[in-house]
Amino acid sequence: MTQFIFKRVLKGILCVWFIWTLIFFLVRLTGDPTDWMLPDGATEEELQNLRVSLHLDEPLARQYSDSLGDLLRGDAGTSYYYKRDVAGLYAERLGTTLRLAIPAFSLAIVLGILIGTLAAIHHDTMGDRVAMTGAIIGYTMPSFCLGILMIFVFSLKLRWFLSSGSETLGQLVMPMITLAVSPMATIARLTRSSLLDVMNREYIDGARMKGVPEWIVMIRHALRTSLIPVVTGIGMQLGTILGGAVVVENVFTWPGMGMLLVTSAKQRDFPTVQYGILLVAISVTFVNILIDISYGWLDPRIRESFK
Amino acid sequence: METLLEVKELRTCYYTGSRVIPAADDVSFTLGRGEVLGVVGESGCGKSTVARSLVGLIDRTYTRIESGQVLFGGKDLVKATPKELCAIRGSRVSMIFQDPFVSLSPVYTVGDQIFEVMKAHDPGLRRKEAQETILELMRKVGIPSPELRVRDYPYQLSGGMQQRVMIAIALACKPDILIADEPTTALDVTVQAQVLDLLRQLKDEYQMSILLISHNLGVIASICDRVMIMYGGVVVEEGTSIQVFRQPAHPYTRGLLAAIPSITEEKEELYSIPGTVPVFQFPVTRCRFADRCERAGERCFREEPPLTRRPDGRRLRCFLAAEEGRKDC
Amino acid sequence: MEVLLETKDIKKYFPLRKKLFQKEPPGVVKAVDGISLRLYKGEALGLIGESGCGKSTFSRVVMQLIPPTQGEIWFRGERMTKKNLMEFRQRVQMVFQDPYSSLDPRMRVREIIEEPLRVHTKMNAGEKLAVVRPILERIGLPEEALEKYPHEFSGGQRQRIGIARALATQPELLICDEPVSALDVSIQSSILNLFKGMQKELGLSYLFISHDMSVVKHVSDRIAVMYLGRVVELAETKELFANTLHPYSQALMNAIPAPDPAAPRKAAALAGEPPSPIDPPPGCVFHGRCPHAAERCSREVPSLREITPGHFAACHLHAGKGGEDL
Repeated sequence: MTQFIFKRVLKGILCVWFIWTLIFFLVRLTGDPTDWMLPDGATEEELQNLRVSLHLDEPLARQYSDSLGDLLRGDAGTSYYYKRDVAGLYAERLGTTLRLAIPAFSLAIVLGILIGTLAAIHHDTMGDRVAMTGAIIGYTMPSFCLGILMIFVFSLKLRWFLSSGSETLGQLVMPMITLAVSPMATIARLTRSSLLDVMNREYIDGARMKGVPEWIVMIRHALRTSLIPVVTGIGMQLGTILGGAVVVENVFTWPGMGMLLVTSAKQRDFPTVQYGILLVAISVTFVNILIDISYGWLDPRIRESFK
Repeated sequence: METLLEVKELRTCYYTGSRVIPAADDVSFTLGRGEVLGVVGESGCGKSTVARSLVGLIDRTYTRIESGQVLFGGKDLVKATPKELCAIRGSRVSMIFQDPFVSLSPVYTVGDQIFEVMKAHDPGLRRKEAQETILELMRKVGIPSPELRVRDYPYQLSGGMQQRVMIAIALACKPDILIADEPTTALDVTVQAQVLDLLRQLKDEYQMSILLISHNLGVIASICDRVMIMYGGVVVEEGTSIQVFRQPAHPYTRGLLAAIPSITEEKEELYSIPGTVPVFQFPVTRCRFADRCERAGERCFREEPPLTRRPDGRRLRCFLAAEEGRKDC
Repeated sequence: MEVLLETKDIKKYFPLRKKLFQKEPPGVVKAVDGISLRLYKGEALGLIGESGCGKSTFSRVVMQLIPPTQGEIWFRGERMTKKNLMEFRQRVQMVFQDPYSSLDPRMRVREIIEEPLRVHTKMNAGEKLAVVRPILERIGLPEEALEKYPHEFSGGQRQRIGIARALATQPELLICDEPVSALDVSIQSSILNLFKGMQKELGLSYLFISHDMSVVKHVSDRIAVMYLGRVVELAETKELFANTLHPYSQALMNAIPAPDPAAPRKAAALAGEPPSPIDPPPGCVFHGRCPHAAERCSREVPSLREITPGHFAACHLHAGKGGEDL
């Protein structure tokens, strides 16, 4: 087990390093950040001085090794724009983003599994068809569309909720739902198909033949084994949530990490973009390691392979 | 012999699209205490449907018991509520399935799975108190070193051992009836022989009745007192094992027996029943075997023969063989 | 008699997966552990054994679908290598167990049967049809079947299509891996009759693999009994049943229930189950379950020896008798 976790963590670190490297070079393809940083009419000399102070004049390989070295020493770099340590910049906004992402993710998981389970149990009925049509709409609809649509209906027409800000619970409702819909639909579809597959297995009939009531059979036998593909799906949905947060925060002007990331990208604020992506990569990797470990709890055969 | 179970004119239909397929049709039989009744037929003949209909183990989205009665313990199980069925399943009627690997849950230990059935019928029972009974059961069904195996998961056991665990689960509450749906089909012959021996021995010990469903005529012959042959959803012949295997009367039974290669005698060419099993739609108004029967007459395509009892006690669904029977007796 | 196919000491070991920081794999599965067989022209050689005995792995090695760990395959006096693989595949064809998954559902029956011809020859459409038509007639399918898809046929008819595909290149040898075990009794018999008829009329040879003794007995001229990767007994069919030498073969035959309720019940069934092929026991692989096992059996591996002419057994019980090793 320890060996298994060790191996997974090692792979995770490699993966995060690879993503960071990729981003490091990709942002540098977007152009010269100093174009934006000085007022119009700045002289070539002023620009050059700025480049030197930001180390942008050095060869790419040198920039890369310096940044990586700094990162490993715990220094994430200083934002070109805010002139501050980027780690602190993100730490300030972390809470705001989590206040949106955690409720949205929880909502997606709980409702997704619930809807999927009900649809599977009542498969091929009217309710199942309605739920699954809804799920297809939910996960094909881009979140910015849904967000704008919701603002139009609930803020402009019905005037129920404010369309921006992050102060009150009421302001949370729309961005949370917008963010949760697509992963929820995916999780519901996964749960339904996985559960339907398990429900046709003979050990479900075996459990029924013990005289165990139907709802216990469903929870104890069907749902538990059907969760493995669902849990995998949930892991992948975390990426969707974090990616979605970037869009949704911008639509609802929710001042979180996503907004920071987008503005920094526009401003070619390299250290801020790199660190933001790094955080996303680390959290997705970490959750996926947790998920791999949870397989062992769900299925003893996988536990065996950990040894 | 005391009659334990009586099935009367049971009809179970599948609904697929616009079609209504009578998977089991006009099925009537009795099962006495301590008796082993074999149900034989090829895939799609309705033998499993009959077994599952008895205890309501059918997918109600596509399948419905249309009519008939299943009388057991003074109750009609067709009309029983889900709660009543739960009370009977596992305690008075148990079932073992074809493939023990897929009929045991992959995520619980063997001990926990045996405990589950005991707990279902004795809610106050604690796992620790039950441990001794569980080990005793495992010993009884021939699982070596049960103290170790009780903590195993099904995938850690061989197919034969898995089927023994299934049997232990089925016997945990000392049922009156064991329904065995192709219990040895997934096993190797040497292991099959062991499991058949075990069933024979346990049947006497627990004085239970067995409804054994199989496509393997050898398995049926080696353990059953009576045999019921099914084709296209109906019973075509039923009698004692000796009657059916020694003097098969229905053309289908005869064909089936002639078609199996033997290890004791030399057969140059095997008999093969022409054609394939057709799918019927309700209602059926002719003999279901007529297309493949070498002796079918014009009447066989016009009306369905009834299941009639012959003077020698066997039941038969055939116009021609019924007449022969009259001449014989 | 002309030897058509010969395997010389075929072994197929599957290494278990290595773990991190381990140099050596934790063990090997000895699926096939030294099989030498000769298959003569025109004969049907049956290969029987229980699940996990390696019979299917052996057939796949012979078909050269997977490379052997050790050993040689000789066909018509030539050693088989990558170079003559195409020719081998043309002369040796395979019939699979599952008539549902072994046919491509998107191909018409005509395309399925003609596919081997497309691979191995440069025939035009008319020539191909000229080859396919008599085959279709031989296996008992109407010509209309050619333009249909596999799902329109029942299991027995699909198995006929599978056989027709195998016959298209006019092979000399058919390797049949459990060809009737997915079929119902009444269908099975017609396919078995077909195999027997083709052997006579077309002079085909078979390597016929099955777990069902009565099926193997019905079609085979000679039978090899396998246990845990090895052949433990090999004899002509009649001889094998009349004078069974190996205790395992005996147990296998006794375990088959006869379709006769009055048949005398045979001696107690063999106890236990086959050991794991990962760490096969030393000595005779069967000694753990053998009612006659002696001390020597747990020490020394018995070789397959010719006990009486044409009747081979790998058992120390018969060690004193007979002649040479195979």
